[in-house]
Amino acid sequence: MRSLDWLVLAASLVFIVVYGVWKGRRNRNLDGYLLADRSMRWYTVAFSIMATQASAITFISTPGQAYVDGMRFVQFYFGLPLAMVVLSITAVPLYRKLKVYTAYEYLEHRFDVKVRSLAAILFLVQRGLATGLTIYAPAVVLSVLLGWNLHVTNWVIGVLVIIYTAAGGTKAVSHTNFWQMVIVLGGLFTTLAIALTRLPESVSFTEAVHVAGRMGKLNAIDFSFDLKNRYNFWSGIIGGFFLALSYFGTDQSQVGRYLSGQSVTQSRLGLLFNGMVKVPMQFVILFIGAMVFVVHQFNATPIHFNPVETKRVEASARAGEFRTLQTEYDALGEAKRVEIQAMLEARRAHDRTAEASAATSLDSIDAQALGVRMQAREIVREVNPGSNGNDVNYIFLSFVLASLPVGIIGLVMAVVFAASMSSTASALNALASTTIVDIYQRFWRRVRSDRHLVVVSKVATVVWGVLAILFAEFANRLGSLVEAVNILGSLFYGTILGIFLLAFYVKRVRGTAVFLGAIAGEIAVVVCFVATDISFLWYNVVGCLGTIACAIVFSLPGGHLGRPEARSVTS
Amino acid sequence: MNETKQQATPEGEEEPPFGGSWRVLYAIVIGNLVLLILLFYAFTKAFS
Repeated sequence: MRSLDWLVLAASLVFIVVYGVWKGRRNRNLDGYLLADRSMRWYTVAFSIMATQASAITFISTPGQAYVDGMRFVQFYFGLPLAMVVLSITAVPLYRKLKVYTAYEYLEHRFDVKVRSLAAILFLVQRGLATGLTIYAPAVVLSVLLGWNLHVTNWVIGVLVIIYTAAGGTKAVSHTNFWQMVIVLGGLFTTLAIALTRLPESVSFTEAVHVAGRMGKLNAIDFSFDLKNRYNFWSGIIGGFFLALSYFGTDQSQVGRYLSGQSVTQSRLGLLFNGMVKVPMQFVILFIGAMVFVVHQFNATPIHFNPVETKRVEASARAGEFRTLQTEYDALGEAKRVEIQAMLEARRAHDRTAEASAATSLDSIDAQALGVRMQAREIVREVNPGSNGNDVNYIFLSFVLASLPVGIIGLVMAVVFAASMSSTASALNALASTTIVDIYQRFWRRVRSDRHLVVVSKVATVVWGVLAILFAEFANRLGSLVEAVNILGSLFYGTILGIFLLAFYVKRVRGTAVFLGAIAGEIAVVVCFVATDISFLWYNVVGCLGTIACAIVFSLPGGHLGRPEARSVTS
Repeated sequence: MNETKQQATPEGEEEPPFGGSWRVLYAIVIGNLVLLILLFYAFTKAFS
């Protein structure tokens, strides 16, 4: 990074922190601090929703995901637009009608306090852990760039976010989210445009796309049904629907965003806009990863993209073996370039036979190169047992540092920070809201002044921020961050969603049956996670349907849990 | 951006500012998804 890069990054950070504190400076009551006085227009709600979901993990890890696994990850988001429609019809008017601060308040209206508390605690555990990952992601950037100790970096980043989130509450979070998303989208398209200029002059854009496709990186759609296949159309549209329904409908970090809308219309439009643009946005991010892969096919690349781990291996007894693998990898890279050029020339000459022949050779060499890369990864893991050897999170950053011009590197770093700060801020704000509204105010201090509640909300924001930083300390052992976050969410979201679907749609079920059903549903998810190799997206289905089925069974006529619920707000 | 409060209306009975009805907007969102899936499928087939 040059001075200009640092200037761009520093200006962005200062702008975000100062702007956030300034926008939230007039919070004098709980409504203002937790819901921004319900004053947001739809575009602020929409960008806030998008910025909350699109963390730095999205920007750092997703292109790497496409680089190693192709674009099939885009299918993960297919259920999201459907969930946006369902939530606009059901959850938005209901939450606004009840004027709740958190989604879990509604559960006490509908069932009882133990169901509300169970859902709130599941959320606090899941979101508290996931927030650690969103802090860790930009910390990786700085540790790679500056060689800083990761622990120190985690604390520096986390504290910056805590300052403006604690000071400004939801107003600060929503307003900064808007501009953070503007920075993210601007940086995204700039990066894609510049990445394409890094292709050799003799290779056109269309040919680059053909190379990516031929090497298996443009596998955006897979209609085959396989429960063990992590990303296909069916897991995306069904499992992704349940996950999105739960995330946007019951996770306070998202519910808090659209509850801040000034009307049902503004909240709905915010959700529907997200439903329109989320899938294409993810497609573009993955496409960047696929194009980075193609650029790397024309240049020598390191066998392992984590420079810290590479240095560690080079200083170990395995250094010679590692260097041999790098030499072998370079030779295979050169052989791949020859075959790619042969394939493209055959394509230009419309010689299908020669093109297929070169493509077959390319597949064979690429498989060998992958095998060599896996051997190097194994060495990394053996030299440092604390690492899992996964370098997917470093691929995109390595490209940025090696290939992008001065100033743009700073812009990309600003994007990473903006994305991380937006989702972390929303999460801390939601964790504080739930802690204060569903735990503190509900059980310890039922009647208190607004001023007192605002102060303890700020304290809760700081405490959750510190806990998230502590969890971030362990995040480097989790492999691909974007997958780790989604797996973590899937362990809890299905059960929470089951509770809410029972509340929305099943009138003849009461609190105790739902509580026991939720515990049974969560046990089923844990069993799937520990004892089976079912893809994690299906955990959402298992948890949701398990909770619903068990609660209904527990409510069957004749049982003491089967009497109709007296307080139904949906009827 | 200055946020201004709109005139309060009965919750859930508001018309969308465009599209005529909420059903039309919901159909647009779902139609957009179907179109994207078809485009992605064509994209996958064309470049595989």
